[in-house]
Amino acid sequence: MSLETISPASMDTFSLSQPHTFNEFAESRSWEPGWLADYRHDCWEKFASLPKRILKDERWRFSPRTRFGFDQISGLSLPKESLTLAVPSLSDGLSIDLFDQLLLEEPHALTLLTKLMGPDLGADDYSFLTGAFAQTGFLLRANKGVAGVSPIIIEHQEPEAGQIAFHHNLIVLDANTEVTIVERFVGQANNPGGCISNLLKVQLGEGARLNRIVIQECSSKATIVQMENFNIGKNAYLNSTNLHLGGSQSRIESKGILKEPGAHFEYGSVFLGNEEQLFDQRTIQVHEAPHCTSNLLCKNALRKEAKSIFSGLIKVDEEAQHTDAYQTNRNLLLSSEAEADSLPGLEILANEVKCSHGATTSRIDPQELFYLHSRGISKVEAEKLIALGFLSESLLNIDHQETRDTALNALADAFSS
Amino acid sequence: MNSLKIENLQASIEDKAILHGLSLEIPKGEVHAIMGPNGSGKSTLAKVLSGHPSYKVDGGSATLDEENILGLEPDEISRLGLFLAFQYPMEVPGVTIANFIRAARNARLPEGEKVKAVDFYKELYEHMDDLGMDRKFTARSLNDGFSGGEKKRCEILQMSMLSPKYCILDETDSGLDIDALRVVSEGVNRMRNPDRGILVITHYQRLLEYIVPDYVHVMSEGKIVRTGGKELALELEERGYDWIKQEAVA
Ligand SMILES: Nc1ncnc2c1ncn2[C@@H]1O[C@H](COP(=O)(O)OP(=O)(O)OP(=O)(O)O)[C@@H](O)[C@H]1O
Ligand SMILES: [Mg+2]
Repeated sequence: MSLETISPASMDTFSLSQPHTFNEFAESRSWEPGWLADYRHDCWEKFASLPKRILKDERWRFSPRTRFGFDQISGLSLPKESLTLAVPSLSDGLSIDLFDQLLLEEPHALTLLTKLMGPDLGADDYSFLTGAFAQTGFLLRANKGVAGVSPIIIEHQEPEAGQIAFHHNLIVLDANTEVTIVERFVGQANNPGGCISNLLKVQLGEGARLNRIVIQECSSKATIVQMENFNIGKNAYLNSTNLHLGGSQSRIESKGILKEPGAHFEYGSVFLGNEEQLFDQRTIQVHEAPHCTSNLLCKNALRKEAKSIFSGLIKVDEEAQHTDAYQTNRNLLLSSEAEADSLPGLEILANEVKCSHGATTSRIDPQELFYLHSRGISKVEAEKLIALGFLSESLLNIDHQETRDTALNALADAFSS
Repeated sequence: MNSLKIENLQASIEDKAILHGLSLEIPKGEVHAIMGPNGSGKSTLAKVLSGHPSYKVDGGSATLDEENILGLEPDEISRLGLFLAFQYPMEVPGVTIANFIRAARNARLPEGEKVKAVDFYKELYEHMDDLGMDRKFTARSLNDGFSGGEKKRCEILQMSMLSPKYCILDETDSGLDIDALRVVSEGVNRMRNPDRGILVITHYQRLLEYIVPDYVHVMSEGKIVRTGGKELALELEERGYDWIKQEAVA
């Protein structure tokens, strides 16, 4: 058995769309268990049979999809550097492990990864390729009743230009557990411009609580695709707060499924766009069971020629009576070239529900600006104060103080650059 | 001379002339009051002096210690030392009072320098205590959902934190209850000193019992039409504005 991986150099004609690339990859992973080989093969087949020409696709509405192409990619990143963990001392019954290590030590623990679905909101190509090629990822597990005190820090590293990192991750929390994680997506200093394709599958048991904070500070040349699927069980609570700063283009697909009564899904995202950054976000809140609540707030502030797309759906099944579901998208345009598209949606089949969705796009009110101005604050500083005020609101409810400060400082720094 | 000096100022908004050659001088160390009917242009004067972009200056001059302020950006005027307490302070959701005042203080320091957080909060809390403001206000968004009186106190808080050379208070008394009126007036009186000129715009003689002015001016239709001592305010309270308007025409 070997942990050898294919390096970009070992293949002379690496191309993600060519079968020989997958075949050579699969060959190099021949030591893996059969079920995983089958899964990889299956994912590859699904990818290969996707229509070659991109036709009109509602799930990509408003998105310049070519910016998410694979043409520039000539190799896979090395898994060792791609994902690292900073783990506080963990209580018994709480563990976090890397995918590649588990493959050697406890492969069956990963089987759930192949059974759970991705969010399936449009980026099928990235989703299947991640299934086929991922060599790393993390698996976080908490046994019944266990609570983690301090947050677990997970660092996803942007690969070098021309490379792609596939991370396939899993979180399984048993009943009455509580865990906080901070996922950082960090930039590449040497040769920035790589691509991260991150697929996360989450399953929360009865009464489990997951607090997840994402801080994305990749380089301004990176491509980031984040796909996440949250399965929330009875009386379970999931809070995902996301700060997106870096990347040339990002595609975020988030699905929260409220599977059993009493489940709660809280989702917040903040994006500060600059230059020609593209932020393409698709969300869905799926209420499958009665008496569940979900609350989503996505805020984007856009400078220069930055562009954001928000497409969100609240879907309430027929059985999901007494649903409370809210969805809000707010955009602040800081230049005349910035652009924000918003596609909020509701699909409600139950009749006893409280749902609302709203989207607003605005510019800074000249009267507000004058007020700040009249106190001696320059135009640039005034815009910064207003925009930071607008965005930071969503970060203030991060419970863990150190993480909250990290996020707020990262946001302020991003504005000064 | 060290004064806020306005000469023959003419200004308009959306092609409507509001100030018709207004002259007024407020030397350092003095407190002046302007009274005048609704719509006579009092707030217009204050906003023109602060550099509000909606107004157009059609003529005349305005100087702060002999330095021209007309045509400057509002932030430049502010940093030169003019402060306007607004009649209707704007609400700015998301920007906390503390961050706002800190940014205004930083704007007065040389490039790259910043006020020390500890010193800043100490000073801020002192001023808040003086004005009877709950310290929790520092974390609230600027004027967002504040009551009328709370907004006015917040204006005076900013004024005391920025120690301007000249202050214009535009109807700071309106909307204040009796206790607040006293607290706010005391705040203004604390700022009275030989190095500062203060202009108080008000409709009520009552305020001038707390903040006793050196001069009272009457403004009508975009001009100062009469100037007198503090007893003029009492006379106006009794007789209204009509007799002055008539005298001005005659
Ligand atoms: N945007 C505008 N377009 C046209 N006229 C305006 C505009 N804004 C203000 N005005 C007019 O300018 C005049 C002066 O207004 P200003 O607010 O200066 O009066 P004021 O003396 O402060 O009144 P008050 O005592 O009610 O506060 C008013 O007649 C007002 O209607
Ligand atoms: Mg007025």
